[in-house]
Amino acid sequence: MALIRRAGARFIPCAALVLVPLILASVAEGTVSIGLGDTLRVLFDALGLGSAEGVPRAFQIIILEARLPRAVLFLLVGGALAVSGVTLQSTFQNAMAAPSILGISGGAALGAVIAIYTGVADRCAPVLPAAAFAGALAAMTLVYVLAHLGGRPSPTSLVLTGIAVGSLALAGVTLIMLWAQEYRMKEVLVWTMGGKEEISWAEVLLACGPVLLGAVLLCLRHRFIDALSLGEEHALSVGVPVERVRCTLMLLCALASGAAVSVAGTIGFVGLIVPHVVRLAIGPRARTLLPASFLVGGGFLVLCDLLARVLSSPLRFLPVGIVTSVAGVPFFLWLLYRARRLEA
Amino acid sequence: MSALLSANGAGYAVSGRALLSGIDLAFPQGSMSAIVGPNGSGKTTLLRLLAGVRAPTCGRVLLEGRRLARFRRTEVAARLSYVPQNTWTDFEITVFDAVAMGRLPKVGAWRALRRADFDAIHRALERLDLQDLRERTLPTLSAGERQRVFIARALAQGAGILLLDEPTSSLDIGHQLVLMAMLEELHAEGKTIVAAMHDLGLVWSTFPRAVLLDRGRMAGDGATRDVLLGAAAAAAFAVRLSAGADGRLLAER
Repeated sequence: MALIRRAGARFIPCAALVLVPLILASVAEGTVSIGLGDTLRVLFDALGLGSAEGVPRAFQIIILEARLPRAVLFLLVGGALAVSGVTLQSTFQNAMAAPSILGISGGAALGAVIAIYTGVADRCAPVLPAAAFAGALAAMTLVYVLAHLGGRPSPTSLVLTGIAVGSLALAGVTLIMLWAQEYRMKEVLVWTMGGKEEISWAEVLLACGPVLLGAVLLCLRHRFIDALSLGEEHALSVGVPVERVRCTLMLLCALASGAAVSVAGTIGFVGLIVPHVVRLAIGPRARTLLPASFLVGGGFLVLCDLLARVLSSPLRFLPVGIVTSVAGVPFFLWLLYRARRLEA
Repeated sequence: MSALLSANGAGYAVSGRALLSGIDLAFPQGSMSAIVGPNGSGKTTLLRLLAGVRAPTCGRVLLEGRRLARFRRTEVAARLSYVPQNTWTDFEITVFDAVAMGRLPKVGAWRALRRADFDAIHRALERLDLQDLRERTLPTLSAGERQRVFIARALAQGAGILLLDEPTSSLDIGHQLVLMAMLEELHAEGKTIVAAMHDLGLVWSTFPRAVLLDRGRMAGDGATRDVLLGAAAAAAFAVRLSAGADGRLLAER
């Protein structure tokens, strides 16, 4: 365990260092491949540290206006989903907990799909993320209120209520997809798979505030998250006001992951897989697990997006949500297998 | 002595079924009391009410003369430490970190641990014979070792009142005796100790006062000898208890 503790201290700077080549690769590669030298020249020029002379103007636009905001956004989104996953798994002592289980992803999807179906999303750019964010918050509020009907709920009943509300929201999404005109249906389908093709700096800025605020505030509550991991009675006995802290943590998860999903679409498995992978590497203490998961979650999503873009062709677009799910399903099954083996 | 912790007509019901009712008890500062009773008599429920982890459905629990519910949770934890009966966890935290959690009421969410905090943690680890296990994770420990970890956490908390739910249930005989000696030391230092106990022999030899519960109601409260040798204890446990010639407690059907 001492080794794991030391690994935790080293893991965070290492993960941060790995992000640099990952982001560079994400910015340089895609359907059009730009050399590393040109990519670095453009980035240094943008930072005022060099000149991009000789680099085609089209490459500069691709790097600065298309790929860099995309990489930054997916870094934030992956980070937010992973940090929320860590928090929810610890708070509810449930290894299968993720932002989707509290209805956050389902609610965001329903909000976004309603905005697309009714056409209000076409009016101006921030309407779609705003609708998705409102959907995420509404779903989480509904979960909280329904779970508290008839008294203080157990973690299990909160999780089950979240699953029920999430299923209801996804039923709404499916119904709207059935009713939607064909061109809208494709738009809805792509959004629900995290398949936004174009991402602007405006969307990055929109997500940046709530994601970073939510993630930082969650990291600052690492001691409460650890205490809740031991169970409600243990947390109460060391002075954690369980109900209030749990409500605050859920709100912060909704803020971070709701904002992430609202701009990038629903992306499965990041919030579930990454916390488990990082926990295996550096142990379960929230103090290191939360920031490490943010970096790994962000890096994982940047990598999945890079894979999705490299494997896509102009005629066959591959949403990032498909790549994360393909990577996530085997891991999810392995988790179930491991849990059964431990029980045996 | 005025009561530091008390229950006035306290009761607890689930779905209309009373698990505990009509509990009137007072624990003065520096007292040492055992709560005894057969299985299902309400010992754990009573400790949960006294610790404030459950709110009474009738009556009230007072801490320093104020309703327990009026205190903030950190204020309660600064005055009272509680060791629950259930110590199983799959949370792979180290023994050191688990004991350090006892400092949470003092350090709050953000403040770093200081020298005084580390001293309290090391003292607690030493007292519970856990120094060699400090880097082991909780799921790799035996039930008895985990029980000692959570008692150490309660000591690191440094509260004046110690509530223990079946603290010896998973301990070997050696550690049971060490724990009883430690509780006597803490009592001598002025701590208020309330423990739900199954082992009447240990209660007989260690605790000056016993509270007897039977089917959710109080059936006796007083000097341990009087309570355990009384008719109410014989009826509650369905055994005959007597003091042997060597001063030990004897039980026969």
